[in-house]
Formats: sequence, C-alpha cells, structure tokens
Amino acid sequence: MISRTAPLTFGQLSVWRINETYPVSRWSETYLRRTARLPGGCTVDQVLAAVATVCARHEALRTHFVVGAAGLCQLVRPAGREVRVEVVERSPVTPAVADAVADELAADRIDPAEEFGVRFAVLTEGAAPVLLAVVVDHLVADGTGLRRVCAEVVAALGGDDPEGGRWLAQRPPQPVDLAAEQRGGSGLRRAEAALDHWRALLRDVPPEVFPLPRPRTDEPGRVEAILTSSSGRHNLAAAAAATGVSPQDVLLALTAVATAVVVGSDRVVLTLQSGNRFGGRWHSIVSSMNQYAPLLVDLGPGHVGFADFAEALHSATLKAYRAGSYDVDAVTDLVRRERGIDLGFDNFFNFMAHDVDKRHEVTAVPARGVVTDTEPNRQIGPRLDVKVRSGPDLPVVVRTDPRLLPRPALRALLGWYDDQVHRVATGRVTVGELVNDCARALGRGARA
Amino acid sequence: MTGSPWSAEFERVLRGYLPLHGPDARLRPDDSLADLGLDSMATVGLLVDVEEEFGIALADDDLTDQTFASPAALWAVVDRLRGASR
Repeated sequence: MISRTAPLTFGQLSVWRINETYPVSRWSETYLRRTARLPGGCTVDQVLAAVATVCARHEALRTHFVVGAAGLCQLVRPAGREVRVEVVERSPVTPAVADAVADELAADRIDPAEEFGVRFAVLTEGAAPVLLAVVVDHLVADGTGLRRVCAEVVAALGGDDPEGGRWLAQRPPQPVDLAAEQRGGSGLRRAEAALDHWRALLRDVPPEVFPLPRPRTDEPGRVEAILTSSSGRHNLAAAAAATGVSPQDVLLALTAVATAVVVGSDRVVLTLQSGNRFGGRWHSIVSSMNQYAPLLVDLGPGHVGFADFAEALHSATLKAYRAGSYDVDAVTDLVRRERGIDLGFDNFFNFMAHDVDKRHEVTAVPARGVVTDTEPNRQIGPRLDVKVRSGPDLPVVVRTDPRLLPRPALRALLGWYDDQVHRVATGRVTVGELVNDCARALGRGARA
Repeated sequence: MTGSPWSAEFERVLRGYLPLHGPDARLRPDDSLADLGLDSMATVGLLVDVEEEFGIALADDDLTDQTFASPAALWAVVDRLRGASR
C-alpha cells in the first residue's frame, strides 16, 4: 500500500546518482550514524513507541525508492509498518560500544526498494535503555535530518532536548512536497538559474580542469589523518579577525592553495557541500538536501595577498552555494553535451566547524597541533577530501588516494595547515609564499 | 516597524538570520549584520531568501561582504534590483 508517491527531490536524486557510481558492496560505507543519550528511567517499550512516533511523523523514514515506469520515484508507505529496531544488551554501554553497534547495523546493505533506509538499536544496560544508535541511508537523511530524528526521539521520551521539543511541536515538512515545489513555479526558476550557473562554469573552466574523470571505484584504497590543534582553533579565530574574512573562508583559501599544489595546477575546482537548508519551510526537513557545488579557484599572481585572495573566494563561494540546489540529471546531460564525459567531482572541502568565533580580537599562539593517522570509513570516493569539524581542538581530517598524496606527504600537509593558520594570523602573507611553503612541505618543486 | 527605510517583508526575511538580535529591538540601518549573528553560511540562506522574496537576482558584483555588512547596504541592492525589475 502506498500513501504518496513523487519523483525524487534534487537532493535525493543527487545521492542516488552518486550511489550508482559506487560498487553495491561498498554502499554501507556511505551510511550516516548517530547516537543519542536516552533519558534515565525510560523503558524499552517507551523507546520503541517514541521511535514509532518519529517514523510516523517523517515520511522519509518509511519510504521506498524504486525505478518505475515514470523513472525514479519515492513511495511513501503508511505509518505503522515495521521499522528495524534492535535491542542490544551491553555492559557497560558507552559511546564507543554504541559506535560499534552502529557499525554492525550498517554492515548489511540497505535495499532502498525493499527496506526503509533507517535502522535503530536501543542499547540497554541491565535491561535499562541508555543509548540509541541510528543508521540512515543518505537517501533518507543528511546529517541535519538525522540530528532531527534523534532529537525528536529524545524529546518524545521527555528528555532534555529543547531543539527536539521545538521540532516535535511542529508539523514537519515532507520530501514529497519538496519534490513538487522543486518542479514547479519558483522551484523551476531556481533550477534554471542553477543550470545557467553550470553553463557559465563550463565556459570559464578549461576542459582539463573540470569535470574530472570519476575516480575509479574498483580500486579501493584511501589513507587518512587528522590534525587536532587547540592552538589551531585559537589561531583560526585570530586569522579571521586579522584578514576580515570568516574562519571558513580562511580554511577554504588555504585548502585552495593546498589543492593546487597537490594536483599541480594553478586552476582547480573544489567541491563544496551545499546544505541547501535555507530559511523557510524546508530548513529542518528530514531528507537529504546536500548537493555538490563546484567552486573554480584560480590562484592568480603570486604577489596577491592572502586576505584579498580569501575575500575574492568568498564572493565566488556565495555564487556556488546559491546554485547548490539543482537537477543533477539535467546538469549531467549538459556536461555530456559540452564536455563529452560524465560528471565527476573531486577535491572536496566541507567546513563543519561553526563554533569558531571571529568577532573578538585574539592574539595568535605558536602552532602546537598533533597529526594522527586514522582509519578512513570509506575506501573509495574523492582522491582529496578535506573536512573541518567542530570542537575545541579544531579537527581537520584529510582523506586521500595515496597515489595522489601518500601518507608521509598527507601528514606534512596537515602540519602545513597548522603552521599557515598561525602565519596568516600573525602577518601579511602572499599566495605565492603559501604555495611555495606547501610545495616544500610536500616535497614538490617550488613555484617559479 | 514604523519609520524603517525598507519594507516590512525585507525586515521579516532579514530578522530570520539574525539570532543575536532581540525580537523587540529596533533594526538600525548601520547595524553590523555580522555582530547580530549573520555568519558565512547564513549569508547564503539570506541571499537565496531575499532573491525569492523579491523575485530578483543579485549580480556577481553585488555578492560582496559590503552588500551583507548592514541592513542599509543590503536593502540598497535589493531596492535597486526590484526597481529595475518592475
């Protein structure tokens, strides 16, 4: 039985097309995971009821995705159908244990045509619920959507989650309705404007720079390392204050320099993640809204100051994000017609650290970050992937194809980030100086 | 809001992106939007919502920090573009 049906939203369609480029055996690497602490004193039955309530509220949690006669579509099933919830007894129940349970939940591929793309596990200790682990297929929700699911479950149990409580009091928006809006009226105008943006991008970008051939997904192997630096977090705020741009723009500009050195070209295209959660009705929808937004970077003359370079990038970034919601099939057709190859993305940059405040004057401190090797949760995907996370030690995670950037150079690159944030915070530096410093760090030739 | 040099619709959209601005506080033309909580990502949302609300499209030259520095600066661009589109 079907409650409602619709084409996929632009965000869902993007995820589907990306999944098509991955081997089916590796789809579970793309699933999102989150854990939530359950309020003390609740029972397993109460948790199950809260999960059922939240699944009834959000159609994404009870949707199948199929290829029908009219193409890809989402089939919303009535509330009340069974959702996978496991009850797992452990002693003690810790976040690390919950992560391990989440990994087990994610181990088996979710068939989007046959199974709802969400799995829950209630971790109990002495039969008392302690933590909730949730795994979602990216078709169902992005990080914001998953956060809402967990927050609403906690709030439904009477837990202390003010945001969950506010969301629970709202009538939630649904992906079927978003899909309808995207394909009519103002949605069509935005989609056409996004297509214009892509046409302009293809006019401005040399073919050898973008699009890049899709990374081969039959050759797994990624290495990863993380920079943790409380001094880096402090210096990032100082650098933003010193240059007049945001902390995100400081790290974006440094990543643009690093990418140019790593790939050996002064003109590169970075892939940003456009969250597409603007104001209005769809801001907190449980669905997948992220789409890739390409950003053309031209390092330009080496004498340009970092602050001017970062400011110019900021304007270009606004343009990229503005066109971040688009019909990926229309864009793919455009790229095939214009460039004769399939659309592919690389050189990812995702800034998720929204807890760095640039508004207050701070004095830079010596860089004292630590670089640690980590185990990537994906063995395929972009050859260069930079993520900046929230936290007191400003984690910068870089995952690379070792054929592009082997582990010793990867570690050196992260050390370079820590040093250069300090450098930008303490004085004028040019793009050329940053490039040459990065090249030296990575053992590459300096720029002429 | 009486006496504002901009439309009520503009103020409604803008206030949605200023988490540090009290709901009853007056929005002044030269207020710093960054100081009122408009960060980098929120600027994108404000840009999209302003364009949708007024049926306009900001040109590349308008996508600068100066445009989003204050209510007056942003309204100047919005008012110019909506006047051109009439």
